[in-house]
Amino acid sequence: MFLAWKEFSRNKLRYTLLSLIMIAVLFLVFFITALSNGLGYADSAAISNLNAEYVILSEEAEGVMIKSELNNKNLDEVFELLGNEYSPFAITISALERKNERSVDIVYFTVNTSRYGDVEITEGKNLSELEENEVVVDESIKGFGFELNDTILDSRTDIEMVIAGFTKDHVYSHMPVIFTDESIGFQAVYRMEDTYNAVLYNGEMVELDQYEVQTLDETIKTIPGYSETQGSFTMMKVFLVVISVFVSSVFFYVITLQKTHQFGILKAIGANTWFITKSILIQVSFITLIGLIFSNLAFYGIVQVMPEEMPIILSWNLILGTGILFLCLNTIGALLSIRKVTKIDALEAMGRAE
Amino acid sequence: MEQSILELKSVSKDFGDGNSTIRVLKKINLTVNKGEFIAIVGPSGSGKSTLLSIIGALLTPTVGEITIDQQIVHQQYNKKLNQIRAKKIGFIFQSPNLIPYLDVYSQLRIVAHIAKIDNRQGERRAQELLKRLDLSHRMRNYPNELSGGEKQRVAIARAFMSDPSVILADEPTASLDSVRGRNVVEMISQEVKSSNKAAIMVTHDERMLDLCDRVYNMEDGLLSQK
Repeated sequence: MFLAWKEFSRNKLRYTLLSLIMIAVLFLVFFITALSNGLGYADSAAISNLNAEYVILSEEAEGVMIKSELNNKNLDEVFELLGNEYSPFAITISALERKNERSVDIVYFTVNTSRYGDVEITEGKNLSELEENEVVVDESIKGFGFELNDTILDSRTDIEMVIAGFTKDHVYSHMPVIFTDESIGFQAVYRMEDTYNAVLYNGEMVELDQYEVQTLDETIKTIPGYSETQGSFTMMKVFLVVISVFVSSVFFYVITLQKTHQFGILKAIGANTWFITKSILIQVSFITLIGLIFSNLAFYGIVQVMPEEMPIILSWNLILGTGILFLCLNTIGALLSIRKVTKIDALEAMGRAE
Repeated sequence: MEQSILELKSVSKDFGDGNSTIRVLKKINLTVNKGEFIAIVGPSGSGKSTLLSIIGALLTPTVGEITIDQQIVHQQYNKKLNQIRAKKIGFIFQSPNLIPYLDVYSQLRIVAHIAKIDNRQGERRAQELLKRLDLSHRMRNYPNELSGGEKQRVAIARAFMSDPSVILADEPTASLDSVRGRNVVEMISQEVKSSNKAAIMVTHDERMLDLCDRVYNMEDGLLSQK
């Protein structure tokens, strides 16, 4: 303890710089990870959070939800085969008018609100409680100035709706999702007749002739570009973590190696290896902790000034995991050089080798 | 017999480099009594420093036995060797080898810490030693603020800090001019006499020998009294 602190206070510049490097490296890890998590999330969160275990698509869609088309006749057929009525599901991309401002891109998820089930509500009504022309919207739309009970106007059809509730984690291709009932009619915007993308259902896996039945997970993977995007993000994160952990642990290895001479003196005075190890461990964990704390503060700060639309996701688990990983590997880096200390020749410290 | 602090009985040391071994020390016998300050001179490469390292428990002898305070040193576990180094042996190196980020006072306190001397006793001893070596006014200075002589005096204070039985000095005057060098050796000698230690000094400097009680000559691994 004594040694570790004395060294810090005597070499303030060196350790400040070292801490800065640590902060910068950890900040980079957190920031890039949060950004790529955010991007990955905003891409498809709404689909992963769909209230369904299985998704039924038309056969020609080959598993891709947005290529799938089901009309009312198909729905009846599916319901008959399943022996029960479930919610149909349609994705419609559109925009909302705003006064004196650019319109907002959004996406309608048309469902049967009484059959779909409930979603996580942060404010207002849930799906099953909706009345005519009322909708549930993802709360990310608040960033564009919309509030509960506001009336929204679809720019393509001029349909007016009222925001009756807010949900969270429903973003699709970076657009906020609006849950609407089939009675509002967005499923028929492009065609003369109702056209749905899928039927969502919970229960047992079934085989249906002329229809494709797949799990929700499979559906997510077949979103065009999904695996490619997620794959790149994963690679990015893995390399980032591996390289930065490597750099920082090598740093500690070299810093400790530089102090071999002092350790030699300490050994000649009678210090045992644990005494020396202890002071190095204190230093490594202190610097890593400083790095963790300040990089998180810096991260928090930058999130405050970043534009709303940039999705950022960072979980405590990730911060904690990264922290522990860095702590362990930095310690290992330093310990590698301590291994040299245990074998150090105190003769060297005496300044001569006869 | 009671008076002897340090005894070496036919100590030999071999260094192997691959296929040939060199016998650096050849059957060395040496007894140092309380309050005795002895010097070892000899050309470089004669094994003086190796001898010092063996006495200082930094190297183990190939054959032979070393006792400090009637305790055989080299049959101890490593853990105990550290404690022997910390409590029984004080090193003074060729260069002061101070720890750069500790002030003079802390240089001594760290020794007390390692030798597990309790705090109050350690404080008192550090202050007393600094006073005796005329360093009290330098207590809060760091090594880079001290002159060469002062640094070497701090190194001496450090060697005496743990109240060791044996002081080992490896060319303590090598980095000093002759006046300061003599000063330093005088101080070692005074400390040895006043607190009844045994001290061995390895030196090249013939002018210091009159301060020592006995002088040994080391040549090709053989020790002989002059």
